Amino acid sequence: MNAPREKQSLFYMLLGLGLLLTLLPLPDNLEAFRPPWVSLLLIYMSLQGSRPVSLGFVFLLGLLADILLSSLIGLHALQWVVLMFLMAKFSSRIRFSSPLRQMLTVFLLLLNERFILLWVLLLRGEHGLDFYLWVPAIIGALIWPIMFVFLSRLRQLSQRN
Amino acid sequence: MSPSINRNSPSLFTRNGFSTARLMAYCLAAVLLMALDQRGAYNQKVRASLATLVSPVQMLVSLPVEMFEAIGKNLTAREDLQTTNQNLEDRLLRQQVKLSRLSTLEDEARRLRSLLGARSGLRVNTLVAELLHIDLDPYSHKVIVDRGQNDGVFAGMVVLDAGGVMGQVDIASPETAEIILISDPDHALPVQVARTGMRSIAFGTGDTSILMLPNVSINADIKQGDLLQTSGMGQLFPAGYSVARVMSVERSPGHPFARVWARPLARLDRAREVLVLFPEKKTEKPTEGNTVDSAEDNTESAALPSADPKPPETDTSAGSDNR
Repeated sequence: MNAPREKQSLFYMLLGLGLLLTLLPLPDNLEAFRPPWVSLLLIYMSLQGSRPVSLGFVFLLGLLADILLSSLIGLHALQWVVLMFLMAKFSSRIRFSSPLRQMLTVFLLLLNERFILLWVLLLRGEHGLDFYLWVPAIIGALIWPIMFVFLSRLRQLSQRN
Repeated sequence: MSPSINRNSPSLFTRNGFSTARLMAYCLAAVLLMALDQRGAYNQKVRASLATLVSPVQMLVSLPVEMFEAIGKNLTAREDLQTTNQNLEDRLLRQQVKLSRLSTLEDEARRLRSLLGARSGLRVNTLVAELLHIDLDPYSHKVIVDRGQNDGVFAGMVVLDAGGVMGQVDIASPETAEIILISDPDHALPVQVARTGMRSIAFGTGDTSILMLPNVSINADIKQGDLLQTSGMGQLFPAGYSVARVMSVERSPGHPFARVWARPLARLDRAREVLVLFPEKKTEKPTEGNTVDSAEDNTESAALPSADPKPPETDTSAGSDNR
């Protein structure tokens, strides 16, 4: 019973780190290529975690991110709640699929997130439709395998201790 | 709801995760929050306290970059050189802004000598603020600076950089302030064409390099390259600061209004140091904000933006620690 709890706390620490990484300044020309750290972590958590991440937690996390990033309050909450819901529905199906298919699924999940963003941007009256809007989904899918291996190692290490 | 129960009981929380009802509830809550935020329904106090809550984190993230920059400076120059350089840069910034205002006033004096008397003198009190080294949501059109209420900054103050008007203070927390840029689609700025004096309103488009003037009449004298300045209408932005240069004018015969696109002169996406402008003593009475709903894009050019649901700012302790 002790082990899963430890694992959970590791995840929460990683989520905090992910939020900080989202805030960390990048050079101007790299900014568009920032991976969606928190989304990737959330996907991993619901794929490998011992119990599902609650929607309420994700909602609050999203609100925190919105305040930190001073985006429209509720935007990240909406994105991540939908993401978690989809993950909870399909995680059992993609858990054992091939890495390539998993990558594709991650891409589609992130793409869905970008569509939510696009929807909000269009409602606000911004021109949102440029290529850079979609870049984080591509980057996220590309680094997913690396992240998956890295996080699995990390989890093993923390369990051994 | 432990996983073992989930796996074989078709309860409310089905085996495939959460119930759709919960998803819907949370989505609705999120959309509601967004709509309220868009409408500006959160009052200043709530937003300021939220900002206060997270500002330590923001400063923490900003710290390593600041340190790296400091180390880099130390390596390249001696400390005294560095401080004098800093001072000079500050002075340059301030003087450039003053200069742009001066030339504007000269133009104005030539045209409207008689009316100029109505306006008070040139002295402006400013505060140099530095942007925190953090990346906000790339679609938020906000920046955070390292000066807050403790430095006399309050919501509604005008922010400039060396090029021109950058935006206004949206939320002031004790240590930091959030600035809404003129490129935010919620932001409207009363401007006038420097060449002719024609007044209009510049709206943000959500693109940091484009402003739009949707309500210029089709036969108005405006052309590519015209300089747009603040007009001083609406009391919030003082008159005469450069805002943008007209990029293109689109006149289609079917529409009563020409569509004018302009490029902001302030470097909205890359300025690192900004000037916060203290209002002149006379205009310190509660002013109306310049944020309007984008639904009101079609107001006529004579109408001023006035639909600001925020309560008027009453903190006027500003002018005390200016330079």
